[in-house]
Amino acid sequence: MPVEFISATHISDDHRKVGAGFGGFDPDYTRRFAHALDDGGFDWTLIAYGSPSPDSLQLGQFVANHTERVKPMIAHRPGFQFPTQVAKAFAGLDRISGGRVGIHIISGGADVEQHREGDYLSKTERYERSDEFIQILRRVWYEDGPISFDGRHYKFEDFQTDIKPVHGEIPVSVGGSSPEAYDVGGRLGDIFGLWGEPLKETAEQIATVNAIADAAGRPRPRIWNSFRPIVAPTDELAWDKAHAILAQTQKALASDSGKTALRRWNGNDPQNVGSVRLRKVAERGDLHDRALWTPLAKELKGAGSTTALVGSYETVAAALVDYAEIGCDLLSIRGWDVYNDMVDYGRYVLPIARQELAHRAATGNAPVLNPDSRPAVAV
Amino acid sequence: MAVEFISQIFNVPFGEAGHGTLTGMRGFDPDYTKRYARALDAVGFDWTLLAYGSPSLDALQVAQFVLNSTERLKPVVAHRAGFQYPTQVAKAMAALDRIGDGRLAIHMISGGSDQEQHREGDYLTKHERYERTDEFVQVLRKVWYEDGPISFDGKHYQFEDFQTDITPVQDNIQISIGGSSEQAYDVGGRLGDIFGLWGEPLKETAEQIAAVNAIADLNGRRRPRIWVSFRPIIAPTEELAWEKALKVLAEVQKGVAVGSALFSGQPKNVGSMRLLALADRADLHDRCLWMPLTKELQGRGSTTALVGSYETVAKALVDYTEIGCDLLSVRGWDNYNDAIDLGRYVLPLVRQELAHREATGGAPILNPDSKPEAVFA
Repeated sequence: MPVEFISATHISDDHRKVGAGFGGFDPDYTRRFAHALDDGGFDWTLIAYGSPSPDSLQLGQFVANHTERVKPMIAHRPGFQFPTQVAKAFAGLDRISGGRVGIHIISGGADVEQHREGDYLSKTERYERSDEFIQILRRVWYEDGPISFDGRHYKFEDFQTDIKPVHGEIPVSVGGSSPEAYDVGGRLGDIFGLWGEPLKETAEQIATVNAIADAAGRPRPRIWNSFRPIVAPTDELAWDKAHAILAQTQKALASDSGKTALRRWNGNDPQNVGSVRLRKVAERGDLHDRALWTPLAKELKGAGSTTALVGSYETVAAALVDYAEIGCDLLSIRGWDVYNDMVDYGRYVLPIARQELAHRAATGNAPVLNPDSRPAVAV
Repeated sequence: MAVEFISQIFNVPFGEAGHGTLTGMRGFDPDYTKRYARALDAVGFDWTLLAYGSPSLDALQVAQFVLNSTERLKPVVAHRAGFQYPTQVAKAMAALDRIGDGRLAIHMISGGSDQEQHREGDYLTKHERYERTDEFVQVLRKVWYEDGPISFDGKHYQFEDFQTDITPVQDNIQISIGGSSEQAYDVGGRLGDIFGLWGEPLKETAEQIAAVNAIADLNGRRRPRIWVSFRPIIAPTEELAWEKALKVLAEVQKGVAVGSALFSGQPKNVGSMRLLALADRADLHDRCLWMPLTKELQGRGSTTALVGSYETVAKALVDYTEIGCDLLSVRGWDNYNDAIDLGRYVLPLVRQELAHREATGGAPILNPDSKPEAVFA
C-alpha cells in the first residue's frame, strides 16, 4: 500500500485561540480549507469530533461535496447514534462521494466529555461497545438480507437496507494506546491510529497491534501516525518559528481564557493512556530522533496530536520517511497556523517525501535525502 | 403566514402504482435524488419532505445533499427520535441551517409501529416514545437557543455541561410534529411550530385542527401551522383525471398483490385507522377527495387522492386553506412526473386564487361550487 498523507479539516478561523479548535462552524472557511487540501495533494482529511463540534457526518458530506479527490476520514464516537443509521449514512456518503470515505472510531478517552452528550459507560464498556458497533457496520454494509443482532450493547431485529457502499470496502480505523484500543484495533481495524511518538516507541506500539492481528488471523492494519510539523525554508528558520510558537502557546495558556479553555476541552491532565504516554516522552527530553520536538506536547498536557517535527522541508520530509520505514503508511500532518501550514506542507513537504519514497521503491531503497541529517540548530 | 407547498423527495424510483420499486425506501441513488431535488426547485415548491424509515438513508444526510443541489427549496427533515442523541441532532441541524442559509425545518416522528422500531433497536412503548419526543424537542431548542453550558435531567435523556458554538442561522428553526393520537395532539399542541396531518375530509380535518389548537391555547402557545398531505391525480380535464385515477387504482391493486409481504398486517397507528374508517364510509368526499387507494393500501401513510382537472384540484386545496391549513403537501403516484405537473399546473392556480382573494377581500375566481362531472362509479 503506498504511503498516503492526511491533514485535518478545520471549520472556523478561530483555531489560534487555545482550546477553541472546536468553535463555531463557518461554511465558507471550511469550503476554502477543503479546496486547499484537495489542491495541495492530500489523500485524506480527518474530520474530527468532540461534543462541541458539528456532527462529523455532516462535515464529511460538506467536504466531499466541495472536493474532487481528498477522502474524508470521518471520526465517529459510537454510543450517540444507532449503528444501523451510521452504517447507512456512511454507505450513502460513499455513494455521494464516489467511494471516498473512511470511518475513524473514537471510543472516548475522558468520562467528563462523554457525559456532555449523555454517555455514562465506563471505558472498558465503551470499547466493548465499539467492538459491537464495528461488527454491525460491516454486517449492514456487506451482508444481504434482513439482519438481527443480539449483543450486550446493541440489539435489533429484521433490519434491511439496499444502501450499500459504492465499491469495495469502507476502511474502519481504530485508534488509541490502551490495551483495549490495541485489542479492538488489532482484531477489527483496517487502520490503526497513533499519535506521534519517537521511532522506538512507535515501533513497539505497531508490534503490539500486529501481534493481536496475527493472533486473530487478520491482515495487519495500516498504521496512521499524526504529527504537527513546524517547517520553513531552512532548519534555522524552522527553529526560530518553533520557539515563537512555543512562546505564543505559553502566553495563551497563561491567560484566564486560555486556562479555562484548556481545562474545558482537554482536562487538566488527560488520563487517557495516549496522553499520559506523550507527557512521559516529553518529560524525558525535548528533541527525539531526527526532528521530533515535544515541548508543545508538554505545554498542552499531551492532549491529542501535539508532537512537532521541526526543520527545513527536507528535514521534515526525511523524518516522515523514517516513520514510513518502520511501517507507518498514513502520515498525518497538521500545523499550528493550520490553514497556511497545510498549504505549505502540500507545496513543499509532500512532494519531497513522495519523491523520496518513489525513488527508494524504484532503486531498492537507495536514499536521496541524507539519512543522517539532523537539523543544525537545536533547542 | 403565506400558504406554502411541500412535496416529498424520493431517493430512488418508487411507487405503489408501478412507477418504480415497492422497496424504494431502501436505496439511495445520488443522481436520481439530485434530479428530483432540482425538479422541485425549478417548479416552485417551497418545501420538500425528506422521509425516514429503517431502510432509508439518514434524512439529515439527504438534507445536505438536497441543499447542495438546490437554490430555494427548503428541506423538512423527518427525524425519528431515539436513534441519535439529541445534542448531536441539534448540532447537525444547526450546521445544516448554516450550510443552507436558513433553508431547514425538522419533522419529528415518534414511530407508529413497534415492529419498525425494533429494526433499529428501539423497544420503548408508543407512550414512552412520545414522552421521549417531548424531551427531545426541549433539548433541541436548548442547544439552539440557550447560551452557556447546558445540562438536562429527563426520563429519557440525561447529560451534563454540554456546550457548543454551532448555532443556527434562523432564529426559530420550525419543529413539526404529526399524528392523530391524543398523545400526538398533546405533544404537537404544546411544542410544535407545525402540526402534520394526513388528508381527511374537510370536517374531520377541521376537528383535528380544533383539537390541536385547544391544546396550544391551553398552554398559552401560538397555534401551530397546519400541514396536510394529499396524493393528487390530475389531468387537463376531469374525464382524463378520472380515467387516470382508475388506472392508478388498478396498478396499485396489482402492486399490492405482487408485494403482498410488504403490505401484510393492518397498521395500528391511529392515523391509519382513521383513514381506513373514512375510506370504508365512502369513496368520494367533499369536492374531490377520493379514498379507494387508501383502502387498498390499508391507510399506510399519506394515501388520499384529490382527483380532477388542475382547476378542480387547485380549488380543493384552497378549500383546505380556508379551514386553516397553510402547508399543503402534494405528491402524486408517478412521483417524479406528477411533482413536475403539480408544480407547473396546480401550484400557480392556487397561488393566484389565494393572492386574488387576499387582494379583493375574499372574492373567488375559481367557481367555489364546482365539482368534477365524471365520477368513478
